[in-house]
Amino acid sequence: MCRIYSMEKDDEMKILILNSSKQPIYEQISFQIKEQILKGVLSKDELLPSIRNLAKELQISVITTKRAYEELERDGFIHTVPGKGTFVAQQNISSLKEKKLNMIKNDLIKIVGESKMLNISKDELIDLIITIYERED
Amino acid sequence: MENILEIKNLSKSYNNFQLNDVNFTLRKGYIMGFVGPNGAGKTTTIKLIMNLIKKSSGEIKIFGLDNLEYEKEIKNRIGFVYDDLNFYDTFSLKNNAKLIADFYDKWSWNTFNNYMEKFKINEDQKFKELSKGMKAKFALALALSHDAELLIMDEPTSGLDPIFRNEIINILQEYIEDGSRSILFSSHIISDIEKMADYITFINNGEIVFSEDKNLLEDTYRIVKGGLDILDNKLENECIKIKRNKYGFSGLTSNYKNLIEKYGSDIVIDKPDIEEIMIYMAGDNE
Amino acid sequence: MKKAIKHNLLLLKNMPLSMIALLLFLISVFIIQGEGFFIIIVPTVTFFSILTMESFDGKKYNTLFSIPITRTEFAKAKFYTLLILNGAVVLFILALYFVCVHAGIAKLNILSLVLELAITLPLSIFVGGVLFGIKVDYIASITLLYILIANLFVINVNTVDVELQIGKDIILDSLVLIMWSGLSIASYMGSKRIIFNKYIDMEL
Repeated sequence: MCRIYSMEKDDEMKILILNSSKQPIYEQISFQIKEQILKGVLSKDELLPSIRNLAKELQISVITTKRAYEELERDGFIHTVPGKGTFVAQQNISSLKEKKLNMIKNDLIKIVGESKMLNISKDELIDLIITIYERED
Repeated sequence: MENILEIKNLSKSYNNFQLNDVNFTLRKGYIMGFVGPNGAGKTTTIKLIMNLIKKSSGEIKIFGLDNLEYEKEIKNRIGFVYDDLNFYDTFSLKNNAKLIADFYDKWSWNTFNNYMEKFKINEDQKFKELSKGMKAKFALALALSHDAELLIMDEPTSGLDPIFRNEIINILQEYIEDGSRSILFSSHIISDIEKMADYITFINNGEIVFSEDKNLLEDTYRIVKGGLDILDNKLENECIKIKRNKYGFSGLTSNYKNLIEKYGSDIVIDKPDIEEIMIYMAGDNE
Repeated sequence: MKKAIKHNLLLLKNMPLSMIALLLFLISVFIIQGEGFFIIIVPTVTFFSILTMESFDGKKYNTLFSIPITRTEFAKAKFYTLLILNGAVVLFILALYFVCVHAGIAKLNILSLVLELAITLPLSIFVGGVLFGIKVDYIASITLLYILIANLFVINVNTVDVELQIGKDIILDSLVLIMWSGLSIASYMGSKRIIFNKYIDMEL
């Protein structure tokens, strides 16, 4: 069964949940909010709905919206001011990219290390990377 | 107070049934679904909470208070809906309400009348004239009309049509919206639980199997499936329960990442719903 | 507890017409039979009122013990309702009696009146108490049984002329007083105990 819920706030924030998706609902929510923040649909310091209000609107359990917000807060996308509410945090896009780049660099170090151990050449590895890149498209 | 309901080492002995060392906690502002097969001990636990039966041992605290010592004060803040709805058959709904309303400090006739109107129930009808669904609605109206901080419900939606069950779920979600109220409801209708519950407590054979954040359950458990040829003791030990058929096996596991690493493409991983988790946990190995 | 007593009285208010009719019938029969009508009418009204109240409440204990009230309060309220009921019926019958005296139907006999009341109250409280202890599943059979016993009782009581013995011997009088006090206390405590035990130990 597939049901879609949507919530629109001032024609801005939009959240669509698919029950049939493999992705847990809290992840769908945090993903969509993250996306809208990064795209600028949700602007800095904008007030987000409370977790309870969001849960009621979407007709899901409070613990789910709570989890979504916890993940967003942990990743620095939103921040909560006690007594005031939850707001979109200042996004430093370039620093985010830098953080992600570092993570990718660390993973690559591991991969290159293992490839060397298995005697996989540099060119073989680069070919593999190219194949994967092209496959994603 | 963070915990609205605390149950510690609760036990109750009957001749042919034993409730054994039940422990779980409900935090304020959340909904807990209490699930388990018939005869698992859900109703017994609820009766113990409400002091309809006497416990053999253990502690029950509601609103931080002992449920026996502060019984009256606690019950003033609890709204209840049971599966067997016992009200005065030959009296009108209005009289039934009058007989109960007086006992509650925060009773509101306004709220009650609003719910009666919303549920489209005529208060002049005699209780025995109502259908099961209407009786449940009436009981719910009573439970919601005295600003109860905790709702305790034993199979509140059983025997009701899906449309009305959905209505009830919406009402209950609205009821807890401000975060000051909590709900404990037992049900064997898993779809209602999945929709509404924040926490799920699973009881089987008088013992608590798990009491967990619903999201955590969904994150943790997976069904692993594979051919009978790879099924060995090691694999079986990684699973909570295994089911076998002619063409393969399936097992419930909380350790799927390990299994993916070890068995790779020899297995497939599936995400179970709460019902499946329960079926695996409550059933015997096949 | 006051709320619980009010609750019980509300239940009594809803006594079915059939029951009221039966009571009126019985009362009339007993009045016509003449003497000793306190002794039989008060317990009878008590009996049927408690029967009604308990048959209403029976099987509703799930609900009744989930509302804000303790078992002790509930039991106390039942007991006090029993006492109030008795008091009310006695007053009612007294009024009826004086009306009958005024109308010339009955003779005014103070001694007889006092004796009857002295026996009636403990007896009635006892009857009410015992009824709490019985399972109220078989209303029809209990009713018939009661009417039978009551009739036998009335027939026998009428043939005894107790009042002739009182006032003759101080020792006898004192003995009778002591006995009466003992029996009254016993019936009062006994009823209370029966009622309390019923509700406090009840497991649903």
